[in-house]
Amino acid sequence: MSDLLNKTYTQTDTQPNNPKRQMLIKDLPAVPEITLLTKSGGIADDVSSEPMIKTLDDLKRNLQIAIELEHSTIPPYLCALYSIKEGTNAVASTIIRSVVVEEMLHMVLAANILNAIGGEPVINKKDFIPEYPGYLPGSDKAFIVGLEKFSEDSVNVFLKIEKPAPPLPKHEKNETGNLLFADPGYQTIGQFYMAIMLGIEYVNKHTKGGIFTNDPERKKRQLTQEHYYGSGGMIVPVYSIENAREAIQEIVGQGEGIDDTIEDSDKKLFGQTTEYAHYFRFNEILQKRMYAPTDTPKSGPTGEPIIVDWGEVHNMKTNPKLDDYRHQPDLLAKARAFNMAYTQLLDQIHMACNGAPEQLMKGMGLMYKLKYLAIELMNIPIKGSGMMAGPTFEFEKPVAE
Amino acid sequence: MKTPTDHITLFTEISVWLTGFNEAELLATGMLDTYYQALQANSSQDDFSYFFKAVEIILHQNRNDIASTEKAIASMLMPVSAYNGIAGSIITMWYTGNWGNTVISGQAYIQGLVWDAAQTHPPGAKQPGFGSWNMPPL
Repeated sequence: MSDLLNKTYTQTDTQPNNPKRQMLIKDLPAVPEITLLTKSGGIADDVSSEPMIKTLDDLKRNLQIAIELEHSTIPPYLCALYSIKEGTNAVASTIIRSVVVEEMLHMVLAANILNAIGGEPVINKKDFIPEYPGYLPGSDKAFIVGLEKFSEDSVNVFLKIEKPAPPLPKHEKNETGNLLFADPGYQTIGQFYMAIMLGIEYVNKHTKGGIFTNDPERKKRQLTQEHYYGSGGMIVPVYSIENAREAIQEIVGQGEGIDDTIEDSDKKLFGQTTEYAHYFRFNEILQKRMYAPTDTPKSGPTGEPIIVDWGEVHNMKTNPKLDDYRHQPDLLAKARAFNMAYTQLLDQIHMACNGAPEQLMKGMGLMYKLKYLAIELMNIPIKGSGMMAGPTFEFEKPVAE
Repeated sequence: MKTPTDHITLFTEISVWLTGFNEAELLATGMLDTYYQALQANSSQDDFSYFFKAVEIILHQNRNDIASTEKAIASMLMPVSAYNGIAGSIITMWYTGNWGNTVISGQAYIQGLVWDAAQTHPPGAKQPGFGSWNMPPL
């Protein structure tokens, strides 16, 4: 079973359920103490072949981390996107927006899987929002992610997010804790999801009746296509292990955390109809060129030039905090209005993922509101700094009236 | 002789009085420079410089006194005959993005304060989300 999975996830260039989409996740790292696969293609019952995630609680905890991880990339991407001045950098805007929309989808898909196995996503808590600047949730702390304007520096960080550097391979035999990147050394987000999928297969197999809920009330917690619009892939409601596989394929298939050797590949992965992984989309911005069908990751993009103007950008202060605005009460009020709308949006998504899926639609209006508020902030100078304000993405509940 | 920077600062300050929106809200539209240029382009040199001379005096003499500032603006700037109606044109410009009956730019239409004041949005330009009209406000 696991062998089949590894094959499904790694041996093709495109996603099995969508030939237009790149599939670039390499095998899980070889861990000497624990072999994930058996020669016969199944999971052996002896201890040495257990996967990293082998209890329902571990699964739930890691899916919660997955939700937090997907979310943590969104504020940095949005700051870059909204800092681009109206009517400029059209291709770059389109690229960043397409990635953001997919991260949002992934967040919801991870929540669907968690709901399907009896978990309860937690989205509206203060510590759900990462500290910026900071590391990605559960990451190997190889690089720092922050709230920055659109620039070569920020796009370089985006490339790192989508292609983390490999940490030193190390593994404690009894380690079953928070798995992403750190011990036991998953190198990419894609591998993290593979570990989750193998854990799902294992726990489901070893749990009487399986782990997927049959309770019709709990099934109503799933977000489906009717609750979601705005392109960026398919939402997959999860009622079974087959659905869970499909959901994870949807996530990794959109190019989450491709492996670090991809730049050396000579495979021809591009073409007009291909949906590139996030890494390649960001690389097009940095190289100011599209990929041509004859290009390989090694060759880099050699296609049509893209106009990228790093100067047509609001000069937003990097990692702004409310405290930066303390001498400008009107500005402070606006920044707090943004944070309250953002917190309200997290509330909406939380409700949507906890039994009231129709609440997601109400969140759409808030997302537009956040966009306009963010751009407004970027038009306001921080006095004496020569820089502009920006959204601080801090948790703030409105004061009850 | 006043430098352009001084004039832009005065333009910002008097716009706050004329529109009732605070400085952060006006800056947030991103239209300050565009509107200042539109004002300059559509006024005679005399009207323009005498208007700012008057603005400077009003704001200076009545500093920190809301009532007397408002009174001075009403009597010295608001009459249509004063500086060829510049003050009224500034209000129209911030609220509608128009100078007289001419739209200053597409962005000016979107950023008109009238939308905020009416708690609505510029149709076709700032979408509130598909089907959102169907939902009560959050």
